[in-house]
Amino acid sequence: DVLPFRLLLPPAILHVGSKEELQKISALGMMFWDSPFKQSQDAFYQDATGKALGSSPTPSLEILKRQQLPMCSIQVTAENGALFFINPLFLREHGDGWLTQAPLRAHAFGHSRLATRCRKPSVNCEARPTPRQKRQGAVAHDDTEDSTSGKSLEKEEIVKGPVPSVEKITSPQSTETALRRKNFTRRAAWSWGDDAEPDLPKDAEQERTRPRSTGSEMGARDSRTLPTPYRASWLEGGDQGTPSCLTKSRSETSLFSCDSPSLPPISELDSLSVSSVEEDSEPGNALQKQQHKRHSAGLSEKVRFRLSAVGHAFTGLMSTDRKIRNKIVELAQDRGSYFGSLVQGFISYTTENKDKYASSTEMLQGVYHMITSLRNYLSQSSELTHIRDQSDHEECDIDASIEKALQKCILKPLRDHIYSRLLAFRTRDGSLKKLRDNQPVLQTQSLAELSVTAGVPDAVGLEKIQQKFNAMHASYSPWKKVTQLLKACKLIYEAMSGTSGKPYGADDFLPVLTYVLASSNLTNLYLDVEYMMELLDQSQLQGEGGYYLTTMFGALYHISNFQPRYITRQMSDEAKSSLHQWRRRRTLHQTQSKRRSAQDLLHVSFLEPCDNQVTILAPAHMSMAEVWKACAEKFEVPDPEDYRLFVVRDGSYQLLEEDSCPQKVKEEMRQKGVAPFHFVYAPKDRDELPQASPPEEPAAS
Amino acid sequence: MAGAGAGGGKTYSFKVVLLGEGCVGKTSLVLRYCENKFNDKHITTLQASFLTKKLNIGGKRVNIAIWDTAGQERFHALGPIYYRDSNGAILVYDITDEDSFQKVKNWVKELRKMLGNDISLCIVGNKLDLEKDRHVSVEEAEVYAESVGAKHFHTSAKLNKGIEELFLDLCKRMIETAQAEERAKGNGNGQSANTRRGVQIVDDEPQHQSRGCCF
Repeated sequence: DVLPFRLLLPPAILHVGSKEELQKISALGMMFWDSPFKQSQDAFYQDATGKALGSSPTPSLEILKRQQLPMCSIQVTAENGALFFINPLFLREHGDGWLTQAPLRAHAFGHSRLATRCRKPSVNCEARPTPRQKRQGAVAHDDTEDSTSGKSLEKEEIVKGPVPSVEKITSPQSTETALRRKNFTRRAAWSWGDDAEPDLPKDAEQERTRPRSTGSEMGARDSRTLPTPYRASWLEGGDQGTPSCLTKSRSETSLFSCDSPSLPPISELDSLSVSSVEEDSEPGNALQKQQHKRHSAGLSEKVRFRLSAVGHAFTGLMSTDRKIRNKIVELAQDRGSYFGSLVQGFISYTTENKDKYASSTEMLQGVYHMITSLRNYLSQSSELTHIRDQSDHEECDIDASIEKALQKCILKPLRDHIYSRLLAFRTRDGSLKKLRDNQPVLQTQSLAELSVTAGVPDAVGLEKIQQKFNAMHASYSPWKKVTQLLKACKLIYEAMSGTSGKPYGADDFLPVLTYVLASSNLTNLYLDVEYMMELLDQSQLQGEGGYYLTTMFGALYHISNFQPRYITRQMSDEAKSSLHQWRRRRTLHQTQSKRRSAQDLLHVSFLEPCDNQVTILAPAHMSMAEVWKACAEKFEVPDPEDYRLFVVRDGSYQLLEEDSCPQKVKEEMRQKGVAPFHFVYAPKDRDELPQASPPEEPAAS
Repeated sequence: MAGAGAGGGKTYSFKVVLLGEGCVGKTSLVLRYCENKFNDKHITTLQASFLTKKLNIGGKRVNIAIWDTAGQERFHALGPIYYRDSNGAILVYDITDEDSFQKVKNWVKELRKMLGNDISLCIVGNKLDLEKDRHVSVEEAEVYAESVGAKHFHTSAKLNKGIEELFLDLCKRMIETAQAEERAKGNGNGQSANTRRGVQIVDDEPQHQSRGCCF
């Protein structure tokens, strides 16, 4: 890659003889260009031209020699973004005769070669090539070819500016590279302005991490030696490879640069860059600058083209999943559409009516039901037909995409609201307090008291796990949360196994999880678990995510009920209710639920149909006597012997005999027909009582 | 967690919960069964708490997810959150430890109360390799198992004995239950949703009763 222009240093800098002078210049910053210092140096510049072509070492070069500086072969620099490379090998091969082709600039070029181009000039030409130099060598390789072919010189521009500032690179391979280069440049600019005292690193490693050696460059700029002893880095054959290798090398260099912790804020860098005022430094440069700019513009066109090409490639590959999600998100924003109005309406309704729900479970289920309803709507609506028809994906993938998109539409805007409500609910019912009160108790327990038998995470491990928990808390999406939960669990297992690699089961995991939770933000976790439990899709609750969510719930429950010397066996009411609600939701949304069969149940009223109805578990084989007994217990009648079970239909009571089987009766009644029937537990001499009127509502099982 | 999968290819997905005191070898048992069959999708091969296995039984594809539970007494209260919605339960005791067999009996009572007869139970006497130290008689265990409608197996995770049979039998019974369920559903009239909700409401009743009965 060759710059279209040559870069020149201002003579004032070229002829600086000591570090002190350099410091003075660097202290001037932008003022340099107007300073009398520069003017006076300009005069000197003319005188020095002759000497410059000679090879006598300048004072600053002497300084460098004495300090055994590493020397750099290449300059990566530019003015307004142009990249500028010089290949000293070329110079060695061809001498500086070519300089006469451009006599006016020859001097500057010759002398600034080191100055402008070498980040780390060195007099030690035998220095071992360092990785960075190798990279530079690779970069230079390109230049070598161009130079040898004689084309490069016309294109090269020597910038007459103290700061080699690369805003644009002549041939960006990719935006990423370009960005990195930009960073590199910025730092270079900064280090220039900042570099009051030349820091002279002895090895490339230092150079890479500390860009402060620019001062030495300035010193080197004084060197009058044209065939300066360059470091032989580019002579490394292996690195003079293909252009692709070149690209990589360059970006690596840049990467190092931008990774440097010493990189100051961008604003600072910009303010320190003097390249922007270079226009007035040398009137003759104006035209070249224009050319340069045009060139840069052309390059950015190229970049744009490439970017858009990449963009097209991605669009072509965009998955159905993405298309569906984008479409749904788009629809949801459109209040004009039916779907959008539903979504937006629900969001504003939920946030505005925060006291609408009596419990957190109710609230979350409301949200979940909304998502489910919208999913059902979308999977049948015409709005997605277009995308669906295009795809050859399976139906379930589309459903998953719809689910994700809906979560984004609804949960993303509602997440904070939901959490604040959850916090309010759980603070009000005291469960959070209970949990937090027990946390210090847990923390004082020894590992043995916690039944921990495996390894536990150390401080670093705990920190990593907390990060996963934090990410879990921050996310709005239940499935993203579960992903983070699984990552945290994985870290726990890794800590448990240590180097043994032994797989652990629940006996070992639960105590360690409890240990980890004892030092975690229990409030967040408690709310997270509830959020996930209620909002996760059914399929996710059945898998590994569901298992670890359950385990997390269990561990939290264990903590909130932790009593060091008392073994608790009872579920707390909250836990039970939460489980119950969870189960209930799952059943509602699962058409193939496999719970206890409804046939095993009898709904029995007391005295009258629909009065004090209770449910009795009565498997098919259960005898009438057992049912009587169960009823007597349920209704707490003082004299069970006087009560019997009746079946009531259209107001007529039929006494069930002792040898009949309630489930059989139920089945027969059901098969007989349409009229609702009831089981009623009433005194056996009920026939003498007045007939009850037929029930208004069917309540039969 | 319905046993029946989507129509067509007929894949059954079952949840199996693993219960039993600590140290009876639950984890070894399930690890042995799923040995070298670690699913890449699992968070880590370092864990044996949640394992899955795919089977093909008589042309029926079966996916089972095995949920391990912590067997320590202090975690007993967490049982319900693990075994809810299970299609099957494997109750493991150590044949050298009479106490662990009592724990199994407690679990059976609780499961029958909470889940009724829809859950297929396997009672497993593990550590058969320690036959000489046996403290639970074969006859007692088998009679008990039969009395509660469970199947009894003897296994040795160490020697890899009896484990395949155990899971195969359990899967067959879970398939049967699922098929019976489907048939029942086929006969049912469209009020399934309501009745199921009713079922759930009743679920708490045994929970209350269990205070007296189980503990």
